[in-house]
This record gives sequence, C-alpha cells and structure tokens, in this order.
Amino acid sequence: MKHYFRNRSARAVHEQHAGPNMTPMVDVVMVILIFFMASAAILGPEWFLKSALPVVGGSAAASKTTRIKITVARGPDATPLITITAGDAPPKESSLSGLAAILAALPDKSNAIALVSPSADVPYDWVVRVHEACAQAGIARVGLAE
Amino acid sequence: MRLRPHHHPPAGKINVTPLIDVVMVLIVFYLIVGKLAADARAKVQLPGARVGVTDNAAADLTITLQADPNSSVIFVGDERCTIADLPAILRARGINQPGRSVQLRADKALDYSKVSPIIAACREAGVPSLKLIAQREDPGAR
Repeated sequence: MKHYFRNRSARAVHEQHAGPNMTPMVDVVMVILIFFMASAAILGPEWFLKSALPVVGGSAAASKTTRIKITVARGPDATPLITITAGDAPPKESSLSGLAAILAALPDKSNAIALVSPSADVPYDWVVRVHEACAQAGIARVGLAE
Repeated sequence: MRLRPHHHPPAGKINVTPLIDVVMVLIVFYLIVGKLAADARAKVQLPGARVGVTDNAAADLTITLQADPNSSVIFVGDERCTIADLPAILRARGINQPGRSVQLRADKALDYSKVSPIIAACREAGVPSLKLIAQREDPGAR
C-alpha cells in the first residue's frame, strides 16, 4: 500500500506551531482575573453615607434654608416611630418605610438641611435607615444630633 | 550533514512573565490575609443601605465601634481606646484639618446612646465630616 502522507519528525511538528506562546499569557490573565475578583469581594460591599456634625448656632446662609427635623423613637410595639417637622409645617408621623415618600414630597429639598435626632434607646440601624431615606429623597445635607 | 543553528534567547533579556505571576499571587495573598486579620480584630455587623458613596479617601480615619454585651469597644484605626481619650487621639492625628474626615463603622445592633458619644467626641475634636459606613444592599433587597 502506498503512503500519501509524509512522516514528520517531532521537530517538524513543533516547528509548524508558529506564533506566540499562549501559556504564559493565559497564566498571567488568570492571575489578574483572580486579583480583580478578590479586590471586588473585599472592597465592593461597603459604602458610606455622608453626615454633617451639628454646630451650635447657625450661619446667615443656613437661616434661608428649609430645616427638617426628624426624630426617631421606639414606638409602643418596638417599631420605629418617626416624626418629621419641616420648617413651620405641622409635624407628620411615619414609619421607616413611609419616610422616603414623605421626604420626597417636601418642596425645595436640594436647599434643605435635615437634622436626625434619635432617642438614646433606638438601634443604630434605624438611624442609618433614616439617613438613607434622606439621601434617597435628594436631601444632601443631613446631620446627626448627639 | 548540515545542522540547524540553535536559537538561544539573547543574553540580558529577562522573562518578566513569571515575575508578574508571582508578584500578583503575593498581592492577592496579602489582600486576603489583611482583610481576614482586620475582620478578626474588629468584628462589626454593619447596617445596610441602598444608597451611598464609594470614594475611599486616603485621608480618612476609621473609628470602629463593636457591639459588646457589657460595653462598647472603640478602635481608632487599629488602636483600642476609651471614649474619654477619643477627642485627644483625633486631635493628635490631625483629623481637624480641612479635607479630612472620619469613617464610623458601628455595629447595627448598638443603641444610639453608644454611638452619640462618638459623634460628640468628633464634634469636640473639630472633625469636618463624618461618614457612616454601611453594607451595600441591592435596591430591591427589602
């Protein structure tokens, strides 16, 4: 039987593989991928809410802004009881879930200052939730009372 | 018989691929070990938030407030301290300079009565800005 294909030596086969060696590239790319995955897992899940510290007295500029006072207390059934007083308007009571909607309905929010005044016995988690609701409603300047 | 000339890499040319490989593995290792060590030192259950900012400024100082059955445990960076020492430590670290701020990592289970002295101490030390650190939540999480 006649052979139509020429036998090739190992060297000839090796020399046919022209082009860059992919092994180190794959190696480095995989390590970089793991690096970014680890960085995202470590740095990703946290962020912050910016808060102002209360100052005794107020400046002339601050007197022209809308002042929103938000008190956070523990309700009778151990749920958050929130009272919102915007300027001279009568106070409104709310739960945590309804707070963002009440704050969003307030006029001139971009020029407003909110002061969150929690009771001593409320969990810190509720304070952050109130802060979050202010941020969601577009109130940039939020302060925490001591 | 003719032999093909051997192709040796030119002398003085360094292969940087294994170097990058090893350096990146070391960075990942130290990132993970550092994070695990920090977590073991200051275990805090952060409150959740669906909105927030992520720019971590290098000039920030972190105050960690752990929940403890008897009393709250305060760390300034890695240093454990008492609430009475906090304003002096903050001033010593120059945190009252413009552009600097304090990151507050407080446990969500703490009563606000444990957190408010920290805020009072920051105000006393002249801290310009306070950042409340929270766990990132998806908008539809609740």
